[in-house]
Amino acid sequence: MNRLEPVAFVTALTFLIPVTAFVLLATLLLLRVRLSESVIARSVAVAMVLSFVAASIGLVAMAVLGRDRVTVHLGEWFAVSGYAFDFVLLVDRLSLPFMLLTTALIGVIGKFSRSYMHRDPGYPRFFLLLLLFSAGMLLIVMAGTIDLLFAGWEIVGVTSALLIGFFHGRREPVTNGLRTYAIYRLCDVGLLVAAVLIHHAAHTAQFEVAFDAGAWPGGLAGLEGTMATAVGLLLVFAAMGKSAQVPFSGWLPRAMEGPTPSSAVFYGALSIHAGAYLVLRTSPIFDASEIASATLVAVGVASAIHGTLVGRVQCNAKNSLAYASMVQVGLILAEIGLGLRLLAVLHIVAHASVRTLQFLRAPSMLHDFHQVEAAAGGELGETGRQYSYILPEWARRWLYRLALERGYHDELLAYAVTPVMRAIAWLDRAERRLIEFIGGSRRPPAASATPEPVRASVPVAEGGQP
Amino acid sequence: MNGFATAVLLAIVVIPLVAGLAIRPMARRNRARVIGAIAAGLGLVLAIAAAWSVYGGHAGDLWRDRAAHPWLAIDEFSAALLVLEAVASLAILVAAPSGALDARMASAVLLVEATTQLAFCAVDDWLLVSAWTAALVPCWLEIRRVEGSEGRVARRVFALYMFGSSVAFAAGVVWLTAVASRAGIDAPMSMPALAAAGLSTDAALPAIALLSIAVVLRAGLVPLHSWLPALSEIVHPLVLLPILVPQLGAYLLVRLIIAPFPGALESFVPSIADLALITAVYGALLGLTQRYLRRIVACLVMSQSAVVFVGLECDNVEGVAGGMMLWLAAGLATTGFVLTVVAVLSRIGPRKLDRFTGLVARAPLLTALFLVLGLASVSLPGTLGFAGEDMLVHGVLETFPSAGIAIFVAGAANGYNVLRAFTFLFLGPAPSDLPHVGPLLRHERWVLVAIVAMLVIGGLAPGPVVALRSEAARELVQDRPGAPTH
Repeated sequence: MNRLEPVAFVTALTFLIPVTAFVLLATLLLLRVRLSESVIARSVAVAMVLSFVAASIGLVAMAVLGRDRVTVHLGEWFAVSGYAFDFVLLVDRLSLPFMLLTTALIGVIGKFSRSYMHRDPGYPRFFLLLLLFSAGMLLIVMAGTIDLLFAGWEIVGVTSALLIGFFHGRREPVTNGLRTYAIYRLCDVGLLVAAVLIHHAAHTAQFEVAFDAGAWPGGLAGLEGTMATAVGLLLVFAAMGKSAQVPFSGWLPRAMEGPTPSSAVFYGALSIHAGAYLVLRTSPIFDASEIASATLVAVGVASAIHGTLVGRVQCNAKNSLAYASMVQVGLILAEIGLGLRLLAVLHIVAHASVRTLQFLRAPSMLHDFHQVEAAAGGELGETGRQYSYILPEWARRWLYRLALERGYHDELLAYAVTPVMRAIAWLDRAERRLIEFIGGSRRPPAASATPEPVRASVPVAEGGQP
Repeated sequence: MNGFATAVLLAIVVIPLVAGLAIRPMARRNRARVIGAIAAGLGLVLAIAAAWSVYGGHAGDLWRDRAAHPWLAIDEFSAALLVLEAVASLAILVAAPSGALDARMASAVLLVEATTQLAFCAVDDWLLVSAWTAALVPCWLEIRRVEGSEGRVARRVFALYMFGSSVAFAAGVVWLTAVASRAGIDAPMSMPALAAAGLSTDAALPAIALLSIAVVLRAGLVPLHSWLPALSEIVHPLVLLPILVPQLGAYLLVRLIIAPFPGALESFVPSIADLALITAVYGALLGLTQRYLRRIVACLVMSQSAVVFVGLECDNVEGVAGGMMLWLAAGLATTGFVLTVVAVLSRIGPRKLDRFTGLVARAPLLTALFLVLGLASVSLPGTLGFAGEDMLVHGVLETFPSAGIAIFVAGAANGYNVLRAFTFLFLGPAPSDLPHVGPLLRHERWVLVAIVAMLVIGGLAPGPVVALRSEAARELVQDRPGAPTH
């Protein structure tokens, strides 16, 4: 028996426990078993505590054993001659901090939500989705293959859309959830194509094999030249969607329609860093391509500037925090592009922790201010200075307008998509005329033949439920 | 054993046929449904038994033993399809709303099942073409019930495209038989004999072209796809579902084009794989512009079914096995998804997706099942389709490297379409004029939950299904020129 097997088993539990808890809870709810709020919240808490303990034991055991990585082969998910989908988890210096962060923060959010969601009709649904999200997020950070990472990526995307639309009795949350999902799906194509190219070039989906020679942050990409650049750019594209980087950042303020705890865990702490994790995990590719690295830095810097500009004109706490998150994630991506990977990991852990706290306190921010002011015996003084005065008046007005319109990014995306939609609508109308010709019908084209404006199916609504 | 196997296959065809004819004149729809469900249940048990004997190796090589099985036989490829068809028919008969499933409709489902099972068991191509055409007749009779100008449009479109496919198929079979006779094959109409004969592709090129046209028409591949969205708007989804789930177009492609003429499709530009890729993307994008639920579902089915064809035309085992796996998964998920759509439509009527319906508060279980089945139909990770699509994409990369991107674009758009339909149907503020929406009835609930269970359990542990399909895929691939040895 291999000495590392118990370590592998324990670290695998970090992922398997939330999955089991989700399957059990989903089955019970599907069978319409009535569970009290307490039972639901406690089961989630127990699952996350056990998961955190497993990750911690894994960390200690690896430190004691002097291992820099543990590969957990859970077997082949399925295999056909010449090809196998290996269920391989990779626990190393990159995934361990994320495992601990994920389990700890979701545990905290679960505890907070127990009171926050009390008597909400969607109480079981919220915790069920939280468990599903934890399973998806852990799958992303523990995936040993890019295929498995994609599976987690998809689960996180669906959960995110469903939680944004959590308050489904109103129009805005559900349309915003749908809009977010559209951006996710668009950018997911980048990850899928990148995965395919990695397979094609390296003949494997396993990170360990594809990025040979040493544990993270070392490793060498088996790709070179144009291929490395293409894969790198596709990965950046995928990360831009999940991490709300320009020009795909329009969904972020809209995502604030979800319950505050889910906003905290998704857009303050974990989901928004998934893009950064992706480029960290595949960082050897960025070593092999200066163009991809430079693009990553450019996207990160542009997003940071955009976020800080737009964040200054937001009029509610959650939107301001969302843009603050965008700024930090932009900086993190720039750090990764510059090769400062350990700094990026540290930055992610610190940012996620602080931002979670800020999000969770956002609903009671005024109360907090009053308390602080009462303790200080008067109004607090100004904190920080605005340097906008160094700009000429016209530039300030122009930037203000640009910030209010969020850089016109949504309009730019709609501008790009509209010709495609119009072409498809034209083909649809042509098909209908053909069918009417065949059927000998003289009725006017059906109402549904009318070309649908791109944004009609996803009405624009502003986010920002404090 | 041989006689027993033939008897089982015969029973799989005859039981739904007799039951379908018997219940057709019944006035009491509930009695018709119960009798139909019992017959479909028996058909399912027999189909599982037949598949078990094939996969367990208990029945020997039925398909190639022409002396013992001159008419009806199955192999690893068709055995699973028998089970899929039986499951789909049983699910429709049990779960369809009473308002939509009168005795004639129940009879049509059983008759389509009988003829489709006959097509899957047919050894000779003339029997396949007969069953292929006969499977259309019950649907045609149902479409004839649609009145007015829409009914006329539906009848003409169905006749042109579907019976047109039968004409092309029959002409292709005649030509093929002539070529096989000239080549001196003992049984020129036997599909196993044709596959083993190694006929010259050049001589059979016109026959292959005719058969390809039949495939494209029946499968709804671009540019001959317009019948599917159009009919979905006019006729009830339950009328189209029985002919969509088994994908007889794909079956014809495998049996009479790929197996006897490996590599023949490369002679055509564009090939069926090219058309399937275009269909997958076009169907998904077309769905984005649709406002009616039925048309969105039709576009989804069109797109996902086309992906199966891409897999089947790969020259490696993983691609073909992925296609075969996706065939089963898409069939099962489509059955469940359309049944949830029918459940919704029967409660609230036709729905335009430009305003919210907010059904979740009144039908939470239906909401959950719609979402899961919808996402399963676009191969969400953790469902059966994911394994199939993953294998398919890896196989496709070996054969058509750029095709992977098209499949991903189609998948992305299809996923969005499912969530859009879900959002507008189940979420948002409920309109004041929303009729009373009752919860799922027990028979609906159990069937849909069972389908979800099959898709999820199959998705979490897809190994056994993959193993069954890979054996069939290996046989199909090994004869192809330049096929890898693994």
